[in-house]
Amino acid sequence: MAPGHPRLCVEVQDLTVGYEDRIVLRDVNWAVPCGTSAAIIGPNGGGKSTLLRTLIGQLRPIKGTVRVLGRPPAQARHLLAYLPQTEEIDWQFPIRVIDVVLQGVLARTPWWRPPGRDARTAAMAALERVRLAGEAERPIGALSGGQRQRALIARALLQEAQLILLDEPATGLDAPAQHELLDILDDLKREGRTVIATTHDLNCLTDHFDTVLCLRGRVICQGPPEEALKPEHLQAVFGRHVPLVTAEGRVTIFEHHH
Amino acid sequence: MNTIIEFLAEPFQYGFMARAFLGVSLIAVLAGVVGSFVMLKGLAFIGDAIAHASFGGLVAAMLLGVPLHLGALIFALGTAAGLTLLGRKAGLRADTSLAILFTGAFALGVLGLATRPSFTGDLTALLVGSVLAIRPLDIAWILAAALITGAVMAVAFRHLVYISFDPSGAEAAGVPVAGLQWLLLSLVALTVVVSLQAVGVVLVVALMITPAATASLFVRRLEVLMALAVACGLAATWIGLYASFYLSTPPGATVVTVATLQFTAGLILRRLRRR
Repeated sequence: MAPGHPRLCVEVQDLTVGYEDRIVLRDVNWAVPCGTSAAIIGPNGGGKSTLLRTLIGQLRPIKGTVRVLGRPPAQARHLLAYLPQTEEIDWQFPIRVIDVVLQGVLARTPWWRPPGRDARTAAMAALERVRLAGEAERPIGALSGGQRQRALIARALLQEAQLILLDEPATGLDAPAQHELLDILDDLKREGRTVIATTHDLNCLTDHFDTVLCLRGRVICQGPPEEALKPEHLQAVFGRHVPLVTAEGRVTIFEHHH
Repeated sequence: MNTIIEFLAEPFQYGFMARAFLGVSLIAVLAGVVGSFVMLKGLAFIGDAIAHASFGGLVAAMLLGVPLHLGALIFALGTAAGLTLLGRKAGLRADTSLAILFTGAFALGVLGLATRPSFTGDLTALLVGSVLAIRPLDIAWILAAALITGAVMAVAFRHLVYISFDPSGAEAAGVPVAGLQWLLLSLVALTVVVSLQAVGVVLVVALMITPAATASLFVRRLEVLMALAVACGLAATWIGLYASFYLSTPPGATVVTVATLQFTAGLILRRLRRR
């Protein structure tokens, strides 16, 4: 990591945020150190996506402050990549996988200049890294759910994003695709990037995330998965009993969350 | 052989037919490019709204004695800007407010037009267009619109694709999404306004949507889709204008009918290919 880089990748203080007619989150205090991964869990409407939208500057805080890589969100855009929930993307739009990846250089190249050979080489390398090199010329809509997510990660790589935010990336993926995605997220972290993802899958937390933030209109709990995932916390987050077993520092939940 | 050449050359003996071929061909190119985005993003209703709103502008310009294109353009661009603002609010009611706005502008246009003695003739001309009355000045407008659109596409094509495919991701990465959405709607407005003379308020959306929809039946890549949409539009234009010349049918409606038949044929062809 470059010297002088802030130690905290995300810093949220006393944040209250919401939409015109309602407040979604109150009094959130949260910090994510650079080079770590954080999962955000909670029920639907609990504020997971709202928090992500605040981090990318799409929503302004009603109260409190948000710092991304040491600056206001709007000034950190070139350093972050956001993968929205899959239904926000028009997958039937007729473009190839390589075109999607090349979008990663758009924000930092002059408008009139088409992506050069360097960008194409980098795009192919990024596709290689997410194991999609063979799919470069295919329409993005022809890919499976997991492959689509990986194509967007390749785009984030090309963008040289330091912070990657994913809104429910694992939703709708089968188990092998989920694991492949989580392994790639682990790789990103190993390179010093920061990964923040919302998820409904509580079983992936211990193996793949350094910290967990539990939201239900406010912060219910936060910390390393084995500390945060206590039965009483989960009861408070989801409003019902969530059967789980903790063994050898690993938390396992006995149910499906879909 | 000679008869075929005569058949094809005959319309061009008339200046108005030559201008019609040139004008509508240019519109087909313009509408194919802009219409591909309109079709893919489901903006057909918005295109229609802009067309109806610009009718109000046309009539206002007519009554005030200013150039018609100018009046239509101001109303159309105003609608495009209003829609961009509405889109930012993203309420479910956007659709409703849009319908109220554009039908209101249209009704005012009809009322304004009714103050003139030539009411019925004017109304028909504006509603279904008059291809054969295309003047050199109209062609200059169409050409200008095509050049502007070409320039925008040369610079911002990939950006427009990005915001069409993944607006949230684009915004997070620092792409000016709202500005680009406004730009796209402004291109729609421009296309609508310069096409009004030829095909009128009611049919103008067909020129944008139908050829692009036909192309989308067969190709899966935007650049190719646009090229094919332009080709379909040009074919419909030429077939339609020849048919209208020899069968004495209304030219605008004939062109749109041919485009519709193309789409129907495309549907059948694709069905057969899949078997």
